[in-house]
Amino acid sequence: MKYQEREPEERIDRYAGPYERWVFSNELGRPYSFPLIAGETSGIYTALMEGGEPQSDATMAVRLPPLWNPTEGRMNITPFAFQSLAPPPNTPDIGQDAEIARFLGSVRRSAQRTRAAFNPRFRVNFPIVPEAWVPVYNEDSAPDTWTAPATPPKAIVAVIDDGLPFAHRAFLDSTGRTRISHCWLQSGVAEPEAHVPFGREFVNTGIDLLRADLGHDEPELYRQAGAIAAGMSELGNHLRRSATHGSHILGLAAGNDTLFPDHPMGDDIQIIAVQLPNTIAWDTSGFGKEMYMLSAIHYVFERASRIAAACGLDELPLILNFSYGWSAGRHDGQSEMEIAIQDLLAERQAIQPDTAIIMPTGNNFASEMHARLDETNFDTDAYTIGWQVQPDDKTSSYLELWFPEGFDPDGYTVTLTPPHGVALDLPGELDVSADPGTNGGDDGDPRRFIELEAGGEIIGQMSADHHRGTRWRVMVALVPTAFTRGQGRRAPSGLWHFALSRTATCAPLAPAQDLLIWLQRDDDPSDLKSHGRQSYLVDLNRVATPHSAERPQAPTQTIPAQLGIISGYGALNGVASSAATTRVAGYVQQTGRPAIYSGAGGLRTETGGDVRQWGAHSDVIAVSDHSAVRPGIPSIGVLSGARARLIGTSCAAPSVARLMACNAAAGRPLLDGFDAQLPLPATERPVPNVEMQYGARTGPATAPPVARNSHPTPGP
Amino acid sequence: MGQYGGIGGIGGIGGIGGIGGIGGIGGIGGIGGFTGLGSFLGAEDTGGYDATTTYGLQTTAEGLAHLAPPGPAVAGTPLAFNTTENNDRWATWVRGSLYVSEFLTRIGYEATEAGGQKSAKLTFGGQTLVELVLPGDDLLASQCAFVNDYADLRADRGAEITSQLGFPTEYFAMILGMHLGQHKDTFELITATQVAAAHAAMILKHALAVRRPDQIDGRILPMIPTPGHGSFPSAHATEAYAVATVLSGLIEDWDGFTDLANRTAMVRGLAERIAVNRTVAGVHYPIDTWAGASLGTSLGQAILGMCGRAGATAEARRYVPDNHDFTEHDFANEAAAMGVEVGAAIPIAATPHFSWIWQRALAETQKV
Repeated sequence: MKYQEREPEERIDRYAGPYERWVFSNELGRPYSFPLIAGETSGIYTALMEGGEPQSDATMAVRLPPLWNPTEGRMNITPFAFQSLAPPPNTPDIGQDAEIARFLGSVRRSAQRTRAAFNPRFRVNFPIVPEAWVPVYNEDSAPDTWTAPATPPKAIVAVIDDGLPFAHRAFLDSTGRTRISHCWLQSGVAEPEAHVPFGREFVNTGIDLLRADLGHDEPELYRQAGAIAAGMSELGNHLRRSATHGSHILGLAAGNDTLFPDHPMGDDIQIIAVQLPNTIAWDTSGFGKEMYMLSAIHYVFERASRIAAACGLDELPLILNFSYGWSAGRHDGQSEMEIAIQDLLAERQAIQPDTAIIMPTGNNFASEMHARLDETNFDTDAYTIGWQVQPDDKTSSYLELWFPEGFDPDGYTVTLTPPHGVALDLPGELDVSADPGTNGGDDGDPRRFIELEAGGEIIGQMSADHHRGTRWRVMVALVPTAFTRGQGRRAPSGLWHFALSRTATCAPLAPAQDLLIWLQRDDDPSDLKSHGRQSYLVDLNRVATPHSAERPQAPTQTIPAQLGIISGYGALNGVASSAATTRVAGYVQQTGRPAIYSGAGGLRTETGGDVRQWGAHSDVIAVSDHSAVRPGIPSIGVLSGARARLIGTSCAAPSVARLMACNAAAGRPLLDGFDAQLPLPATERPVPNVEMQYGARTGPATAPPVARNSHPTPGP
Repeated sequence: MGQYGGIGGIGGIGGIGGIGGIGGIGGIGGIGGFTGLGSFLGAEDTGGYDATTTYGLQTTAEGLAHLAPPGPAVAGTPLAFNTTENNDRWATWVRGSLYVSEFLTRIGYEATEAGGQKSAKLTFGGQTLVELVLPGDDLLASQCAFVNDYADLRADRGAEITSQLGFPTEYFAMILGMHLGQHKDTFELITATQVAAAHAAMILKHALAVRRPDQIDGRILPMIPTPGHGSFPSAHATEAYAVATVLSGLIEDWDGFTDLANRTAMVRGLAERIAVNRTVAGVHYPIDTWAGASLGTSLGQAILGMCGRAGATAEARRYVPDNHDFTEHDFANEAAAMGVEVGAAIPIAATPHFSWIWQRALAETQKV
């Protein structure tokens, strides 16, 4: 099936971006998307709006989640959900993308009526499952069944994650009442009325009642609470598992257990928790999550204000852990989510300085998912990198190339060539410039698309877009390499060639300018049966000799003297680059070295050979593994008494959140008790390039261990 | 090794001379835990000695014969006649036959069709103890959705599922702090209960003849072999709930635990988990567990009656399957709304052999 050109008002890319075009269009990636997109539409969508306020009209009902906006000022980014009020379109060939585009156009037009100068843009996210859509939404209020904690709170710790065991005994205070003040299950089965627009909210009294009634049978408790629903893909049987990502994180950040003997959480630390839909971890595009994430952060801030007000206190210290992320993106703090996080943090820190959002640096340091090119890498006017796409990958694969901010790539072309033996019907060649055919006909961002076709079937999409009007991006999306979901098309697996070329008249890159490539995460760490397989980059020019310059200088040394083009430096969590975010890397307690997977900020090699940092970096490092043979650290599982180990920077972050919350409650500086930077191991050469690399991985501060290690750490 | 050796049982690997001395390794049911005769199969059976020993015994007999002069043997005294006093003289598998005989002589079954509804009744002492109504084909198809949903938990429950293929006695034992050195007779009571429950389940499975989930829906693709018997009721659920019922009575009468309520709740929770694990594995519908839990509970009560437990009666149950998931909570609290009618209490007369093992098991209390 060929891609059908849409009318201007039905072009989703006019309002949103290339991911939305790929994920929501039938001819492109929709059949491979999360079941709720691939299947029948619920007619309830979620999105971020940049510039202006979304409003309901005759065709759709708009809902804003609880928002924290103390000055009621104009927000740069607004999360919202909207429900189609119109009957399903009569024309069967109108796609989900076209329907969404019409709604976004409508939202844009009403916003423009009130604020003419604006041309709002959107990020469209995953739809909401009908069972989670609250029939009556009581906006701007909170459940009156909430009761103030007996001990006046001194700090609030918050966790946004999946599979949250909110009735677990680890969260009880010394009198047996839960310290979980508010808990929002975004995909929980809705009740007739709620103070959240979708899902289900629990407050402390309700959780205590549930525990009193069903605390002896926790699986039944979660079932009756609408937190287990096998038939809902967003919720599922997750809480029947022995452990979930969220149980581990919430326990480490906020729970009391014999596993965390040295840093007990007192009765004066309240908890706010938000459970994201399972969709969040299933999807591999890095797309589709932001509205849920940003709504969750707003909810945490908003409910934190209510707790303080009800207790007659000023805004309380608030430490929010968010152990999520994706791998591609701008990495400059200027994505929609990063702008929104920065705005929220800056505004709250002005009121209450002890406000922090803790995020992991990610687990892709060694995954070969990032490359940095500069002028020296061009062979005259061309450069080619390999993209190894693995067989039996049942999800889409994505590559992003970012030009420097303000750089005009006019004259640049990218060419994608499939593995040997496979031919595209037309060359996969894309000019990195605006296509007058789309851009001239509407008010969207400058952009250009081509479809990759083989044997008459679409197997991919290439795009160039001027993202948020500041930075050009090239994006490639490929369909799965396995025949799946009843589709008669697949992308060939193997080594794809991604070639950059430019006309001779193009200006060269300035010495400080880089071209940056990231691949999206494409695996299934939470066993959600997405069946993704991770692709990776290949340096085609790397000389495969046993004495390559990138080898360490001695067998005991692991840090090379020089950086390669493909590098873990810059393979940082793609949503963690806001200046005010606290980024946490992970280290191995037994060796005192960064974990091999622990993400790091970007480094570039200067003309003289010196290594310099760019972008956001690790702020603190915490234990993520006990040792090489005991990877991960322990925390609680779903049911009271269950334990689990989790590996990754995901579990380093909540250790830091816990320590910061304890410090805040005790009136100490947030990083009190933290050590200085991890010392460079004695085996490594203490030269500037090596020290710069090590520092990029460790950050300047080191958190003490939180989760008990039965094997003591050896002395220095 | 004797011919039954590997299967082992309560007494040990198979009890051949010195090798039998290893005792306990044969296990409580894990190794010998096949449905059917369970760990009674070959338990304490002497088998035969190996060829060398057999030959050595012959030459030894000849070599020692000169020490005892020829002549008639002197008469001995008789054993007590037809009494359980002799039970501890018999090998375990022999007592196994006695329990099975006691149980089987009291039960019967009847398959009926009335008003288009087919059902099978298990009778006890001539009275209907449990009646299970045959589920329709549409219901089975609907139940496949639950089975598919539960498949998500296979990675989580894999160790439990594969170690519970037979009678999962170890799991009950660990909740109650039991081991072979002190609880030989309690293990025997559990095995007798399992074997009785398994026979009853097989009879109703045969009569009702319900297809397994994987025959209805190929996507289920079970992680363990689908057994060679019908799906409804679940024998695992029947056995687990029968054992949970008997053990709940036993540990109450033990009066030996300071945390009795916790242990009773855990025993019931384990029965639920064993049963639901079979749905996770892909071999049972939730309605199979409803049927098995109903059957097992009534049977467990009947067994307590056979044991002569004071005041024990068995409740009759009738189950009309409907499209519900199974949880212990619903079985304990919502059973009537989900298709289980609890009928009249049937008095059960004590029987000699079950009473004998019950008394022995009672004496194994730890008196914590």
